[in-house]
Amino acid sequence: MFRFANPARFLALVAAALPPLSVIAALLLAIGLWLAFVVAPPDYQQGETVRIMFIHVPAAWLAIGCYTLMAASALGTLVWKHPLADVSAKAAAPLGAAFTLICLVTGSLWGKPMWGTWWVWDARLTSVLVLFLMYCGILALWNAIEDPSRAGRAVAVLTLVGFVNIPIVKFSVDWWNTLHQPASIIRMSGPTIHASMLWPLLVMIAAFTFIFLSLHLAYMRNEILRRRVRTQNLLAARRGGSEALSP
Amino acid sequence: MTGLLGEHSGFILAAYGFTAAVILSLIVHAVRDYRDQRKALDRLDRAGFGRNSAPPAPTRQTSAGEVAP
Repeated sequence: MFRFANPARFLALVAAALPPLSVIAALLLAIGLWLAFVVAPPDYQQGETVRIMFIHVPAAWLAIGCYTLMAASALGTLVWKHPLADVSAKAAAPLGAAFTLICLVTGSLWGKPMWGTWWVWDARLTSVLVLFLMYCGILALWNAIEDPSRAGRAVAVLTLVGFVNIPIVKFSVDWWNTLHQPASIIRMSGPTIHASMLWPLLVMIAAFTFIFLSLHLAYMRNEILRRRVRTQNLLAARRGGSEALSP
Repeated sequence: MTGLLGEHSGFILAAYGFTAAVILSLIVHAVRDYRDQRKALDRLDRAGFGRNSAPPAPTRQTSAGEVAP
C-alpha cells in the first residue's frame, strides 16, 4: 500500500488503470442492462416494476461499501498516516452521497407503486436517510477547513464515529419489523432470488462497482492535482511577498 | 417502450433516468475538474512557479523606487 504513497507514482497508476477500468465498466453496464430488460422475466407479484431492483440494490450496496472505504481511509489517515488516505476519503465522499441518493430516490419510485407510499419511517429507510445526511455532513466539513491535512484528520474522526450506522443499515431489516423486505442475497441459507433475476442483478452490481472504482481513481487524481495547485499558489504568494521585501 | 414496461412504466423510466443523470453528472464533473486543475498547473508552470520550473529571477527596487532585474 505504501508503494503508491508517492503521488507521482499513484498518478502513473491512475493513468494506466483508468482507461481499461472505464471500458470494463461500460461493457458490464451494457450487458447488465440487456440482462435486466431482455433476459430477466417480470416478477409474479411486482410485474415489470421489479426492474428497478437492478439499479436500486447496486446503489444501496455502493452506499454502504463507499462509507466502509471511507472508514478504512480514515484509519489510514489517523493510525498509519498514509499520505493518500485522506485523498481517498475526500474522493469517495461525493460518490457515496450520490449513490445513497440514487438508492433513496429509486427506492421511493419502487415503493410508490408497490407499497402505495413514497416513504415510510421504517428502520431501513430511516437509517439510509441518516447515512445520506452523514455524507452531506462530511462533505460540509471537508469544505469548512482550508488546510487539507487538518480537514482530513477532522473528517477521519467524524467518519469513524458515523460508522456505527453501517451495521444498523445492514441489519435493520432483521432487528426491527420493517416494511422493507429482508435480505435476499447474502443469507446463511443462500439467496432467495431465482437465477434468472440473480445473475442480471450480480452483473449490474459489478457494473456499478467498476463505475465507482473508475470515478474514485479519477477523483483522487483530481484531488492530488488540486493540492499541487494550492501548494504552488502558496509558493507564488510567498515569493511575491519576499521579492517586495528584498532590498 | 412504455407499453412493454407495464402500467408503472413511468416509475421505471424515472428511476433509470435519474440514475443515469446522477452518474453522468459525476463523470462530467470529474472530466471538467481534471481539465481545470491541469490548466491551473500549466499556468503556474508558465509563470515560473511550477514544480519543474526555474524560480523567476528576483527583482530589485532602486532608490528611485523603480523595479530593476
